[in-house]
Amino acid sequence: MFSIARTTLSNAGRRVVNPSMTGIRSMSSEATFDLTGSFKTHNLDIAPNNEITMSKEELIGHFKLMYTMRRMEITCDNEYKSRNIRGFCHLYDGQEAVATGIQAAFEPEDSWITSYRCHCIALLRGGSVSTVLAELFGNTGGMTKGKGGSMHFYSKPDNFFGGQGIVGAQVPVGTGLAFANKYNAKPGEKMNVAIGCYGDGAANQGQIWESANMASLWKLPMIFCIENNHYGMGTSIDRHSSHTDYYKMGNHIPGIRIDGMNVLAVKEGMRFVKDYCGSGNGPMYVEMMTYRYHGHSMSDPGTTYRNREEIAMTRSTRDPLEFVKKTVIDAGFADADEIKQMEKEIRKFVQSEVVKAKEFPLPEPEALFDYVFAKDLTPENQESQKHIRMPDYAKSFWS
Amino acid sequence: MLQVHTYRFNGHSPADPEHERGRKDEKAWARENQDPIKEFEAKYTASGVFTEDELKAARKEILADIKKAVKFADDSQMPPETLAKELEYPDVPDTDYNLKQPPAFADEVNARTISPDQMQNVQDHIAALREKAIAGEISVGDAINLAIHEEMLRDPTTTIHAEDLQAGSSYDIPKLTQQTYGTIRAADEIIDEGHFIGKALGEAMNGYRPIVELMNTNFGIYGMAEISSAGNTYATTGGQFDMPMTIIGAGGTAPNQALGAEHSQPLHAYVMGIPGLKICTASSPDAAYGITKSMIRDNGPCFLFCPVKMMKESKGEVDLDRCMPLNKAALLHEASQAAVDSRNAVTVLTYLHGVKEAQLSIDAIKEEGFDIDLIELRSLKPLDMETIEKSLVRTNKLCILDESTKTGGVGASISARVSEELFDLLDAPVKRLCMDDAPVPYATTMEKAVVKRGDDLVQGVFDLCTKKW
Repeated sequence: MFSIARTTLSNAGRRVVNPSMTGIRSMSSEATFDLTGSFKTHNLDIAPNNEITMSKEELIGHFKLMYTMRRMEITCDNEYKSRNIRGFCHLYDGQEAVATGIQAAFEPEDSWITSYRCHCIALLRGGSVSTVLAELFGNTGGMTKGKGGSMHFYSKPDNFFGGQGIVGAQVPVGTGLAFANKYNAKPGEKMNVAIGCYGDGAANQGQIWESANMASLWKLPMIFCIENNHYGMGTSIDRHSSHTDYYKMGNHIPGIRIDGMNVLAVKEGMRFVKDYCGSGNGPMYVEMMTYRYHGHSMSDPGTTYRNREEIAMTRSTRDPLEFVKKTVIDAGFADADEIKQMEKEIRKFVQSEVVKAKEFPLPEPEALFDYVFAKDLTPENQESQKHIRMPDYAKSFWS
Repeated sequence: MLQVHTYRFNGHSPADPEHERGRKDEKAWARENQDPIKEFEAKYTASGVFTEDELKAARKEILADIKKAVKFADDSQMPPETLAKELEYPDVPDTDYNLKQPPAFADEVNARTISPDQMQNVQDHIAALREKAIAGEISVGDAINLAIHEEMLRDPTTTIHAEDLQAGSSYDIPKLTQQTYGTIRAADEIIDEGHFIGKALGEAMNGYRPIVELMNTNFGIYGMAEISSAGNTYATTGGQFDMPMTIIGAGGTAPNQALGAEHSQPLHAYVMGIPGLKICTASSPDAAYGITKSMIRDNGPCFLFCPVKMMKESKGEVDLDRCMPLNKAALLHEASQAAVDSRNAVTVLTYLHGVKEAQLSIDAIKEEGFDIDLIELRSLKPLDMETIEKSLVRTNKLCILDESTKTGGVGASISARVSEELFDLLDAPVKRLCMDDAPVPYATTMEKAVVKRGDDLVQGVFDLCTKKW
């Protein structure tokens, strides 16, 4: 059948714990959720808990965030087709639970680096819908002032290191972030961790094995996080990987496979991973089982190498948004009408953010030379270097 | 995987001072207890297979042989100075690839490896593409695909590798190859250029002719070590190993392409300095077709760059079944004699997207009262100085519309050579319209300053003819 069906974990993760056990009330403020079957471990004699307790506020918060992400990515699709966004655009819809769950388990001081499929993580770490869209529109309100575009979002205060254009290049960089975190850690305290997210398509690259080796040797607090959406661009995992149990790829390095469509499982799984790595036990391989609805990028319809039925089936049975919605309703945190209302508000909000994003001014051509060299290399000269040609021909060095 | 436990007595190399503590004692222990030759001698004298004297005689014989070998090496002549240059390319730059003979076993192997259905299918595909070519309607991507199929049928040792190959990659360059030649001869690659270019190196040294497609030439940066190794192979092996690898990629930097800094880098500039590579560009279907055919037949490593935003362009007739030379530029437009006589003609050198930009600006240039000899530098290396010279004789002014950076770019190399070799023909300094030394930004307003366009060329020609430098 479809490759994703084979690798799906059991459906057990969707059950809410029997109401009689935890006393779920119709106006409850927290509930405990069963996570049995959400995790598979490798080389570990400990594991995440099989249940998680979450407050109403938090769970509804996750839903709202994920719904915002979904609407934002769909907006990007529309804006791209209207040619307001150009160049590359790699959308994350379908994978929202992964980013949301990681953020829920992490502290702001934990370092995060990912690939070009980064709009939603940018949103979590220093961005807003308007600053993300502004960047995609190429104007000055953007997170990187219009210089980066879709694949190059960063936020230093939020410990978000990108947004990288080249497949797999971010993983050694992430290992360096982990090294810095270990180096900076105070004795006796837990270390901040670093997570490098990459896809199944990148997972077999040489420098990732190299990074894992050193991370293990030096016991770095590094998390190698494979967002397994089952396709490396247009090639399915069966056709690009001789070994598709990515969580076991580290050999001696422990690993865990997490149901990436269940935000609760992701949070609990990542809590466990962060605790393990931050305590000086060395790195861990994390495999998130997930799916992307769009093709690899906007130039890829995503249907020349995938069955439309497979995409539809995933949407109807494993959609992370539908799952968290159902969980909220089943736990009595909100009813269907309240959820509809939240969705309506979020749609309006995203639309207003688009308008806001479009109102920022376009960058001046001179902005090109900002941040090319570190300012203190030329203390006497804050202007552009003489040898760099200015748009105004007359100001150029050799004219 | 084979893991063999052994020991080395010396350092990593003669330059290795071996700071590691305890290594001195460890080495002494190893020489005493882990010497395979000592162990061999001890074991086989003890068991009576050899006597001490026999081994002594054998050692003496070997020592004498070694001494003789050292003397031979010392007495051997130094290689002639010209050898390095001779060993740069297995096929000389002006090779006519139309004269190369196909392997005799081609038909037999094809009959054995391609089913009648597959063969019918690919022949239909080829016929359809050829029709398009004759009608002047074939795209750059399809023209390369046509050349590839023709060559893969002509020589069954030709293989092809690309990411998403089975799905046609991005521009249909490998279309229908896997369906015709199978999953090993036409292989889907993982997203790891360092890996699959290295793999192609091995294939090439082992009797095959690999074609490697880079989905975007920026990704070639990951394979720089391998590309470099390919360029060095023929010479470093003393001419023993050919390196018939062909790398084809869509790249360059179109004005306003908005692909971000890491997808806008001039790999063609980065590989210029690698010895042994033949580097060409093609911005039209006929050039893409003719150059691909030649590169596949060439026994050295060849690199073809095509403009990423022009892969679907389909203007122009294609000279079917003809291989193009790999060392010739193409004169696309000649300045009028009137312009030449009135000193209002300029030689313009360009390549990749610059070709289209330049062609579209000819009218504007003429309106200003000037004209250009437009030369497409189809071969970046080796450079066709002859064609450049022929034009400079007429115009005495040179402008390069260069799709690489000011520092370390293609235009820089050309400019230097023209100044060195054709100085007397110049009435003005060489004008270089190149990319600025800044990461190519995403936003259009900023990008305009970095990537030079037709407008810049019009201005450049104007400035050269009105002595503004």
